[in-house]
Amino acid sequence: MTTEDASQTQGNLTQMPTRLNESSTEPMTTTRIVNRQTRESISDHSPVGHGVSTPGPDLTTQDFKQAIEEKASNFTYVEYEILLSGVSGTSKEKNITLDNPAKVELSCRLASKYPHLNIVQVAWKRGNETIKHINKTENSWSIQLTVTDENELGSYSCTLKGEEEFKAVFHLQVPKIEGKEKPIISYDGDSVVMICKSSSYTPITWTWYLTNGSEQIAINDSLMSDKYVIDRVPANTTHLKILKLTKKDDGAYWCEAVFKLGKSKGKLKLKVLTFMVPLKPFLVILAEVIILVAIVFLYEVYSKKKEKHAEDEKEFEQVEQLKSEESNGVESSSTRHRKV
Amino acid sequence: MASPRRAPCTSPPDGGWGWMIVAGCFLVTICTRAVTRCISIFFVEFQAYFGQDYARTAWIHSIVDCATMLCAPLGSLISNHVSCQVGIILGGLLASTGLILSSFATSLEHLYLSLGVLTGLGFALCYSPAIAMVGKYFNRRKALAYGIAMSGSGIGTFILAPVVQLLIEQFSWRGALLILGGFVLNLCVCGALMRPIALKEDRKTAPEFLEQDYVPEAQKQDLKQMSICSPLIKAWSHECLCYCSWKEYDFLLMPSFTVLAVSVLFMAYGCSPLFVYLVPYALSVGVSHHQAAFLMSILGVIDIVGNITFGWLTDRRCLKKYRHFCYLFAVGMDGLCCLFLPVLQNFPLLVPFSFTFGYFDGAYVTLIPVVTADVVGTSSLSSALGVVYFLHAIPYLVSPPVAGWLVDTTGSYTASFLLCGFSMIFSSTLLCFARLAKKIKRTHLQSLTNDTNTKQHIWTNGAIAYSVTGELDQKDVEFLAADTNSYSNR
Repeated sequence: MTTEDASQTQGNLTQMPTRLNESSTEPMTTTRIVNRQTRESISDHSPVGHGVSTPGPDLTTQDFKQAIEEKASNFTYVEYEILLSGVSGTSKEKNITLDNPAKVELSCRLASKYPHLNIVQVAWKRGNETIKHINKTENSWSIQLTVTDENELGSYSCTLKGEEEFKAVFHLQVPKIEGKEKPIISYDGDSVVMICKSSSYTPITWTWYLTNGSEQIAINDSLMSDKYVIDRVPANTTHLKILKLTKKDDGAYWCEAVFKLGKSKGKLKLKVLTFMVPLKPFLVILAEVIILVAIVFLYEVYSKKKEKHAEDEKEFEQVEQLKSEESNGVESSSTRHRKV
Repeated sequence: MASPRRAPCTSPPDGGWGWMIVAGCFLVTICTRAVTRCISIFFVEFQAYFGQDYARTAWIHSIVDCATMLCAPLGSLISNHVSCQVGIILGGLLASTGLILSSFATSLEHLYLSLGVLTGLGFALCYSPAIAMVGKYFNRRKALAYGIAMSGSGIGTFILAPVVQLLIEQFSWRGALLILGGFVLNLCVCGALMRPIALKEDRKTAPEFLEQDYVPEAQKQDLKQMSICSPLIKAWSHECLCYCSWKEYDFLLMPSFTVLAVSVLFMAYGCSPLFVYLVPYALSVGVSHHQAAFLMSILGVIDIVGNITFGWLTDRRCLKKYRHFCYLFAVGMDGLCCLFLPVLQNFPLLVPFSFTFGYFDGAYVTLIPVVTADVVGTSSLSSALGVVYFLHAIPYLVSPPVAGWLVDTTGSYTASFLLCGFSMIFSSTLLCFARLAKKIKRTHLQSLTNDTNTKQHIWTNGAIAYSVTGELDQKDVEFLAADTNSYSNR
């Protein structure tokens, strides 16, 4: 695993196909060696130079391509490109999510409408470390990486210096796990289920943590099986069920997805309420309903009384009218009588 | 509850306390239909908490809908025999209890019973009596009143959906169900608003009943002062009970009601899968999630517009006589839209479909109670509505799974949409033929007897004519409704 000899590594490379079927670690060592080889050759050559690629890296690239064709089943090969255009001084960024070890080719391309800009210097860097690049075409430059563990993740930048300066950055990261912004509410004595999902990437395993003060403590569900139940099936979701909740279970919980290339955490908040909390609005509504029903019924009784009163008055008036008509009639007949 | 002794026999007030009834019915529609639709918002929470899949959780919604429609006749029974107020208050208490009990649920089966059966039963006790009450209070502006009352389901869904979401975020599903149970208690307030009204039509049947031979002489005096079929009478004689129940449901044998019932069956069968499968169909032709949700929102909002505007339109004097045709026109247009749906393959074409379908869906929903009232008259309206909504239950339950099975076997939505379209068009043509047949029969009969014509000629004097046309309007409705064989001839 620590062989440094160039010739030996070359030999190893050609033997790669036969070693493929043995163990999963074998190809990884081989690629690591290849990586180092490229780095060694970089130190031999100056980073300055455009378009011309030295035989060393070229060979490696060719071998790479061979390797890729031969062992496509083990490693995925991905290519990412940033198109640089327009304003100098600006920096373009791209986020690349990797969950499994892969071969990555990152390239920076200058848009074809700027052929007049003489690019003198092209530099690919990771932090302060310079990486040897290849000139893929007339106006694009790329590097190839094999990402096998989290040390190889990070930010890789390409800088093109000429009359104007252009910069592009690639961020290689593990998939992010989405937590929930809003707290999950539950009640005293009840149970709660917290869910974490990893959308398109399947992690190797999941771990849950609870926050005690400022520390994060892993939850061991086999030890405390009457309090915590962790479900890890299907592989890209996980459920944490907490039983017999109390106020102490309030706080932040973390679900961690372990990928081959690293770990990623999502935050969930739990809030435990007493049953009094929703009871108060319920009692308010209950009071409002009782008051309204009372008002409506009282109004009905009142309007019925009014109607009855109005009817009584009407009858009374009618009776009065009849009486007065009668008396008028009697009078008129008596007057007639008199007249006669 | 016996009606008050000195209550005047009134005609529908068409206003006044009637608007309070409309407000009450509006609130009933919000608390029943809108809450039923909002229950599906809880499904994600139930799935996570109980660890069940979507199919088992979706049963809750089916059970509520089915229980509400299946128990509708029970609702009208209680409101007829006891009182509309008591019926609705009881329904409100039941539904609220169901929701409160569900907030303590420990399993999905518990939810089926409390949230599904109990709440559905409570809603059923409220829904058809409230709608029947509106029919009793309005005559001239009946369709507008119904339009406003029925728009509650659309407006309620619109407002309640985000509110329920907020409640779930603040209090989790248990607290949200508890508060929703409190909200549904407002059904009791609506119940209190439903003051009973004694209509002339109801009184009409009293004299002929008293003339029957098998009623003992001694009781006849008391009967004159009590309303028909009150509980006290039933306690006295079995014949009264049989007669009462028969009287309530005798509209079932009316040929026009039978035709209406069959057409309602087909119409409910045709319209229910649309709401379930519009979004999946839109997604399958390439519309984005956002746009598909927008289609459903358009459907909901235009539903409300259709409710109110169509109600107002069909109340205009010119359209009032043709209400039946307006109803079957709305159903027919919906069917036609369904037939065109498989041809519409992108978003700009689906938007006018949403508009048209939503509008006519709102339109015919408003007219169902109006048309039923036209067919059976206001006294039996409560029971008839119970039966009509009962007939909605089975198609609602059966139609979406059948449509889903068709989609799975044929691989496209065409077959199921064509089936829905033809079902609705058949419902509409059935009604059309029935009306035409009745019209032919009536003109035939009128040509035989010229009495009614001469009577109408008499009432042409100025002042009298105006007051009589008002009465004639109602008589027209009764004439249309009662067939050539009126109640008294039976």
